[in-house]
Amino acid sequence: MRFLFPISICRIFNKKIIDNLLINYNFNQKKVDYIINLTSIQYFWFLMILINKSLLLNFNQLNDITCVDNLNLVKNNQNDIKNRFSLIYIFTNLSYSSRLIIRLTINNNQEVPSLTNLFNSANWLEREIYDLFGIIFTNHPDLRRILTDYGFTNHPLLKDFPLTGYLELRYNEELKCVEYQPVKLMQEYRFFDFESPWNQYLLNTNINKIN
Amino acid sequence: MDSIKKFKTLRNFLLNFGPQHPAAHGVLRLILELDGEVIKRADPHIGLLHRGTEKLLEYKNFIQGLPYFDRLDYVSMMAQELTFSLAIETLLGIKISDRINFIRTIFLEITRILNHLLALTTHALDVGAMTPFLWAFERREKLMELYERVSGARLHANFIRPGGVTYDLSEEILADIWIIMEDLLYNIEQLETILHSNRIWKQRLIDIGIVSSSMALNWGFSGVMLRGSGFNWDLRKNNSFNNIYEELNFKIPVGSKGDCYDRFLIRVEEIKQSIKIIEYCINNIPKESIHLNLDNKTVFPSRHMMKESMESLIHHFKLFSEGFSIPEGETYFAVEAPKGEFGVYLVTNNSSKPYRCRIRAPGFFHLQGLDFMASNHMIADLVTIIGTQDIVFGEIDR
Repeated sequence: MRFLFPISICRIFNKKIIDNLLINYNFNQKKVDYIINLTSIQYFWFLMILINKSLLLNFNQLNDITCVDNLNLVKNNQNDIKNRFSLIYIFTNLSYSSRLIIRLTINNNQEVPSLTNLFNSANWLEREIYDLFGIIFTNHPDLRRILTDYGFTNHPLLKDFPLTGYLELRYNEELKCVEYQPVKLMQEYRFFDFESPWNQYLLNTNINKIN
Repeated sequence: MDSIKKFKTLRNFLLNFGPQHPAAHGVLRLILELDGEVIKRADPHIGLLHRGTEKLLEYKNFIQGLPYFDRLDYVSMMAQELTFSLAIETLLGIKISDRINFIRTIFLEITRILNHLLALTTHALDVGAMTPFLWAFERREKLMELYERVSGARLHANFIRPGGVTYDLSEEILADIWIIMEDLLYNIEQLETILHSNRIWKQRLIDIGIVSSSMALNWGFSGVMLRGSGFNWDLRKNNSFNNIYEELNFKIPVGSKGDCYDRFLIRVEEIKQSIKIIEYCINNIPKESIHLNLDNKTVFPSRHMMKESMESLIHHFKLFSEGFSIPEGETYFAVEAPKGEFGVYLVTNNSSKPYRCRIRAPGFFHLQGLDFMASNHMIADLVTIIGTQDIVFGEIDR
C-alpha cells in the first residue's frame, strides 16, 4: 500500500501541473518519504485541499511549518525580491507512517493563504512565522505576534537582522521603571566566518532525508 | 419608559492568570474569559521565556550549538541532544557503533523516566497530592546522579554528541543503573497505589480535558497526548530512529477515552516499559569500543589518544575551535521525546554552522490546544489540564 502514494499524487495532478512540480520520492528502506517542491503559489491551495480531504493520501496531521530565509543561500542579483523565502510544510500519515514535505518558494512581500481552515495546528505556526519572518498569511483568524515582546517591531529570524538586535531593555534606577534603549556594546560582536580547509564529504551532497 | 426597554447586558469576566503562577509550570500567561467559574475562552500568551535559540544556533558551530538543546526542555535534556546529533549524522552520513546506540538508548529512556516522574507528580501536586511529588524527586535525584556520573553535569549534560557520546560507560555504572531500576519499579508501584484508585484523584481527572481522536490529529498533538486519544503512534516503533527499538518487544500503552486519567495511566505504564528497555539494553550492550569506525574529522578522539598522538591533538584542536562543516543539504529528524515528537529541521550550506535550525517543540502544539481542552471546564480543572499537557516553557518559547 505504501508504494501507491507517489503514483496517486501523480495521477491526481495531470501533466500540465506536474511541469510545475518536482516530486522526489526515495524508498529509504522502510521509510517512504515524499518531497514536493512548489515554485509558484498557483497550485498551492489546491494541493493543500487535496492533502486534507483525499482519503487516498491521508496525510492527516500537519506536523510543522518552517520558513527558511534564502537571502545568503541564493546568489542571484535580485535575491531580495525573488525566491526570498521557502516555506516548508511537514505532514504525517499516521496509518502508513510516512512523511510528506512540501517546499513552497515565495518572493519577498508575497502573501500565502493560511491553512487554519484545514488544519488547526497551523494557527500558532503561522503566527510564529509572521512574527519571526514577517510573512503575511491571508485569511488567518488571529495574526498576532506570538514569541517576541509586546510592542516589538522587527522580524528577528531574517538574515539581515543582527544577532544583537536593535533595542535593549534595562531598569532605570532614577526613573524607577523599565525602559528600552538602543543596544550599546562594549565591543563589536566578533563573527569569525572561516571556511573549513578540511575535506568535505562529497559522497552525499544535496541530501534530502527525512526521518 | 426607556429604562424598562433597556435589557441588562451581561459581560463575561476576564481574568489574567500568570505569568508567575505556580500552577502554570513556568511563565505561562493566560487571558481567561469566564462565565462565572466556567472558562469560555483561554488565550495563552507565550514568549516570556523566548531566548532566540534558533537565531543563536545560526551563529554557533554544531558542537557549540548542542548545549542549547539541553536548555530547551530542561526536564528531558538528552532526548533533544539526541535529535540534533541524529540530524547532523544524517546529513554527514556517519554510521555509529552499536555500543553508542545502546548507551544512547539507555539514557534516552532514563530521560523519559525523569520527565514522566516530574510530569506525573507535579501534576499530582497541582491537584493536591503532595506525597508522590516528594517521593519522585528523591528518585529523580538518583537518576540525575547517573547523568552526573557520565557527563559531569546533573541537568545540562551535553553527553550525546554528533558521532557518539562524550564518555564510555563503565561496568560499574551499568551495574548501578540496574540497581536503581530495580528500586524504581517498586517506587512506581507505590506511586500507583497512592494515586491509581484514589477517590479525589479520580474525581479530578476522569472526564476532564477530553481530546477526541480527530481533534488530537488536527491540532498536531504527539506523544502521550496522541496516544491518550487512542492512536498507537510512537516514533520509537513507527518511525524508528534507532534499530534497538525494532528488535525490542516493548508495549505502547494507548488510551481509550482521551481524558486526563488515561494520560496519567499511560505515563505510569511508559515508565515501566522504559525500565524494561533499559534492563534489556544493559543485558545486551556489546563490549566494544565507542571509538570504533571513528572518523576523526567529525568525532573528537578519546582523551587518551589526544595525549599520545600528535594527529589526534590536531583533530581535537580543530574540532573544538572551528568545528566540522556539513555539505549543502536539509533534513527533518524527529525523535520520540518524553513529551512527544521533538523534531529538528536542519539546513546546512557547506559551512561549520547551521544555515537554519528549526526546532519543533511538542509542547507548543499542546499548549495551542489548551483553548479547546479547557473550554466549558471550571478554573480548577484548568490546572489539571495544564498538568496533563506536561508543559515546559523552555521548549515552547525557545
